This record gives sequence, C-alpha cells and structure tokens, in this order.
Amino acid sequence: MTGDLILDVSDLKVHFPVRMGSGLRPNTVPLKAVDGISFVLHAGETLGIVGESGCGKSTLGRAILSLVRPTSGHIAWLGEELTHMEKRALRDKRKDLQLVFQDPLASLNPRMTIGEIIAEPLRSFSPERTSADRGRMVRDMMSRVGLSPQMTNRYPHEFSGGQCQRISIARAMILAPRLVVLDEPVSALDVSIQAQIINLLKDLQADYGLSYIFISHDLSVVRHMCDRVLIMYLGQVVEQAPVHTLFERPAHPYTINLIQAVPIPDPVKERAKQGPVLMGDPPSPLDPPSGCRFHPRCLRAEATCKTRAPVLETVGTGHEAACFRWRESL
Amino acid sequence: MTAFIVRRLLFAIPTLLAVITLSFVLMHTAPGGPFDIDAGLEPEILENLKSAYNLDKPVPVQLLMYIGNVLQGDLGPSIIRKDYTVSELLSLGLPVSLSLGLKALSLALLLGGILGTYAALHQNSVADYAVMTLSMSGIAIPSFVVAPVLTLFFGVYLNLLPVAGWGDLRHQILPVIALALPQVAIIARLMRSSMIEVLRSNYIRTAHAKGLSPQRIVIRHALPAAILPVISYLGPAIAGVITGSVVIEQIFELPGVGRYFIQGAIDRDYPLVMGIVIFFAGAVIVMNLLVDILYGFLDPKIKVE
Repeated sequence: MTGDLILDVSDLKVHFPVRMGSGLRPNTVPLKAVDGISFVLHAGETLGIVGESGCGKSTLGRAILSLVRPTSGHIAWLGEELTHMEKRALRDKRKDLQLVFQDPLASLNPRMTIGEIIAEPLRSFSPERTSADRGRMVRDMMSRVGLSPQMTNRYPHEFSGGQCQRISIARAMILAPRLVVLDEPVSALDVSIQAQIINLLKDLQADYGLSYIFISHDLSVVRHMCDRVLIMYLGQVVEQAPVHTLFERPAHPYTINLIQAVPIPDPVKERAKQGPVLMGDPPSPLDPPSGCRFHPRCLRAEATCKTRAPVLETVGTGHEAACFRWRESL
Repeated sequence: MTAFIVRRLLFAIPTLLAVITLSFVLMHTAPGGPFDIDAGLEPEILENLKSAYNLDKPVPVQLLMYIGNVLQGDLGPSIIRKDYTVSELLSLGLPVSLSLGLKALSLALLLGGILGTYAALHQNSVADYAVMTLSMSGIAIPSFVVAPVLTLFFGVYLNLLPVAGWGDLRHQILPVIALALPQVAIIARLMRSSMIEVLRSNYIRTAHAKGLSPQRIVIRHALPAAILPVISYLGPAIAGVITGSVVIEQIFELPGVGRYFIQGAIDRDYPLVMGIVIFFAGAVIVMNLLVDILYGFLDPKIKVE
C-alpha cells in the first residue's frame, strides 16, 4: 500500500491577520487557521483530514498546494521545499499537485465550454501539443471520468452537480498529477452520486497510482475512502491513525465524540445509541481556550487540561493522539 | 434572434412617438418664436412666414402634421438656415460628432478598463486609492469646467494644441479628452468593483490551482466576466457622450450636431431641434439594442430571445 515518502509537512502554520475593533487604531489579531501541523504522505496513499467546520482543514489543503502562503513551517514535496519557492517555479509544480473543490458548479468558469476547461492545464504545461492532440486527450479523459465525449462544447450550467464534479476531476487529472487534494469533493452531492464519485476517485487512484488528501467532515465517507486519517480541532491535529485503528480504537475524546455522532441507518439502533454526545460549537479560533483546546467541551477534562497543552504522543502502531488521558480510551 | 430584434424595433416606435410629442410640446411652450430676431417685420409678412411653416395652426395640428412628415422620412426645412433642410444639417454635423463620440467612447473603455483592472489587482494599495480619487474627481467635476481648464493649460500656457475649431487630428485631442473623462471615471469604478468580485469567485481559485499564469487568469478568466457591467453601462455611456458633446462642441466651436442643437434651441428653430432630438433618441435606442445583443454573445447563460 504505502510507497515512497512524497510529502513531508512539518510544523505548518497559517495565520490570517484579523482586524478587531474600530476607530483610528484597530488592533490586529492573528486567526490561527492552521497552527503547527505535521504529517507525511506516501505514494498511492489516501490521507483523510477530518474536522468540524472552521477547524482549518480547507486552509490546510490549500496551504499544502501553496494557494495560501503558510506563515511558517515546511512543506517538502519530493524533497523540495515549497514554502519559499518562487511563484514561477511553484506554478510548475501544479503539474503534480492538483486540487478538486467542494462547490462543483461555482469552481468552473461559466464562460468556458467544458472542453476548454479541461484542456486549459494542457495549454499551459504542454504547449507543444497540437490542438487535435489536446482534443483527443480531453475526450479520453472525459470518457474516463464517465462523461460523454460529445459534450465538450457545452457550458458548465448545462450539467448536474455530479457531472460538474466529474468535469473538475477530469480537469485535475488531465496533467497526470501525483497528488490531488480533494476538498470536500462530495459534500455538495446526493448520497447516491457521492458513491459514484468516490468509486470513480478510487478507480483513478488504482489506475494512476496517485495519492489523495481527502478533506471531509463525513466520517462514513472517510472510512470508505482513506488509508489514514488526521483529526483536526481548531487548527491542530488531535489524533492520527490508520483508518481501521481510528474507528476501532479511537484514543482522543474528540474522535470518540465524532464517531459517536455518525448516524446509524436504523432508527431503533440510532435512538438506542449511548455514549457521550458532543455539545456546543467549537470556540472561536481568534481566542482559543488555554491548555488543551478541546477542554471546554471534553467530558474527561481535568485541572491540568486547562493549563497545559497536550502534545501528540504515540499510543499504538502508527497511532498518535494529543490527550493526557488517552489510556482511558484504549 | 431576428424576432427579438424586430420586436425591440417595434417597441422603439411608441418610445420615439413619446419623445417627439414631449419635445414638440416643450419646444412650442417656450416663449418666443423663430422670427423674433427679424425685428420690425411687417405684420402681413410675419403672417405669411408663419403660415408657410404651418406655425399659424394650433399646436396639436402642427404635431400631427409633423409626425406625418417624419413618417415619410421628411424632417423638414430649417427655419433659420433657410438654404438647408434639417437632414442636410444633420449630415453636415454628424461626421464631426460621430468622430468625436467614437474616439471618446473608445478612449473611455480602454483607459477606464485598464485603470479599473489595475486598481482591482492592487486593491487597497496607494495606486488603487489614487485611481479611485482621480475617478471620483472625474465624476464630480463637470466637463464645462474641465474643458476650459484643459484649453487654458495645453492651448494657452503650453501652446501645444489649438484652443478651438475644426481641422486636423490635433483639434480633436482636447475635445475628446474632455468628453471621455467623466466616462473614464465611471467605467474605471465599475470595472474595479466587478473585477474585485470576479477575482474572489471560486473558478478564479480553480484557475490558480490549475497553475495558469497570472496574465492568463486575468485576461482569459476574469476579464470576460468582469466586463459585463461595463458592457451594460455602454447604453447610458453613449447617451452621456451625446449630451456631453452638446456642451463640448459649444466650448471648442466644433461644427457638430450638438452645436446645431444649441443654436437651434436659441433660435427657436423648431424643425432643427426636433430633428436632432429624434436622431439622438433613435441612436440611443439602437445602441441599447446592440448592447443587449452583445450581452447575449458574451454570457452563454443568457439566450437572446
């Protein structure tokens, strides 16, 4: 399953300045969207990034591709540092690093035919190809993602959400990238369409041997899709583990809460479900809680959790959690 | 498409009729008449002159007769410039006004578009604030202030350009600038705000993720969408240039349609003023139609029907 190490992210931070207050001298407070995240990714692997809305998972995805410039930290892609790379050189890396966005229709230019949309990366990265050659590649890619090649001259608004997402996937895949960041690729779709897209993504991965970073808030999709999962809370990683370990033996109370919250498709069992329920909303990332950021919502919180921040420690094979009381979970 | 154009042109007829009626009534309500300057005319001669131009009949009758003539394509003779018909005067003034107007409009689109895009790409920078301040002044300062100042500076102090009159291209520079300036200002502001909005849209983010060059993202992806508000402003812009030309042609002594309009209004030359009003109204209607058709080509989601 796991091939060579292709991506090594260490202590990545993305802070956005937010202006607070008003008047002549408003003070600027950093919003720590991503606050010290480290992980690695291997060839052919799918890494899931899971968390509630606003926990910084999309920012993390974009920072990895340098669409958002990180504040500090390192991103090594095939041993090359991306964080300080010059813009032109960075654009060259987009051949290998692609992204599929959440909103299928809005992420496609409404004034271009889908043939133009899919072919455009080819124009930038292999200008030596003839347009006939590009057209053939576009049609091949379209049938590969399950779109009829006759539809090249249509505009995005003539397609359904699922079809638009196939167009986005074709657009991302046409350069034969080595890593695709999927930012909630199925969240805007019907469940039946979700399954089709997920299966398409898995097929493409098997064919091209590429790696995915799969950003999602839907644990059942993550369970189906990913090899390894990273749980994020307020810009930090609270747990990471191989997918089976995570679902069988979650160590962090937050992970336990999340898994608990997944609905069971049986009303009787769903109603009989026991265990802790995650209460309230995540605190503002502008003013994160002291100590362990999860302590105000944690059922297990004790005095130390309020003052000291736990760091990730190894709790099993390939399994890390940031909790003082992880032993109680396992 | 053809049906759309035909329908729009049919709708233009009532609009034109309303414009004719309104301006005809206004014109005849204004005190005085075309023969006031010939002071001391014999009453009999005055009566004869009036009846020659049907001015002795009641206004509603005159209006109906006038509309009848216009429908036959006859705009009538000029009362004051007796050697010319209104159509002849229009065809004399039109090349001047058209050449000025088209140049001013092109300049406004080009300069306004570039300034607006530049400001949008450097949002909240010094350059952005400078462009926006300039354009605010461009909107606020009327052309009858800008034009004499330009003349004073470039014509009198620097002695670079002629101050007035019609001749070679050098005579056109100052009038075109004065005419274009308010439109440059408005288009720059429109362009800036729509460009900023488009640059924030998801498909521009996709274009960055594709790894396209910044130039291609702006020109190929952002510009076609951002230009749409500017295109729909073209109708009002053309109307603005026409009304502006009335003032500008007067200031720079240019023999254009706008100057005939002012002269006609002062002289109470009813047919001349009416003819120019009809022509301007028709021009604005046709331009608006062209803009709507153009819109259909630029936005694939709009089908002109």
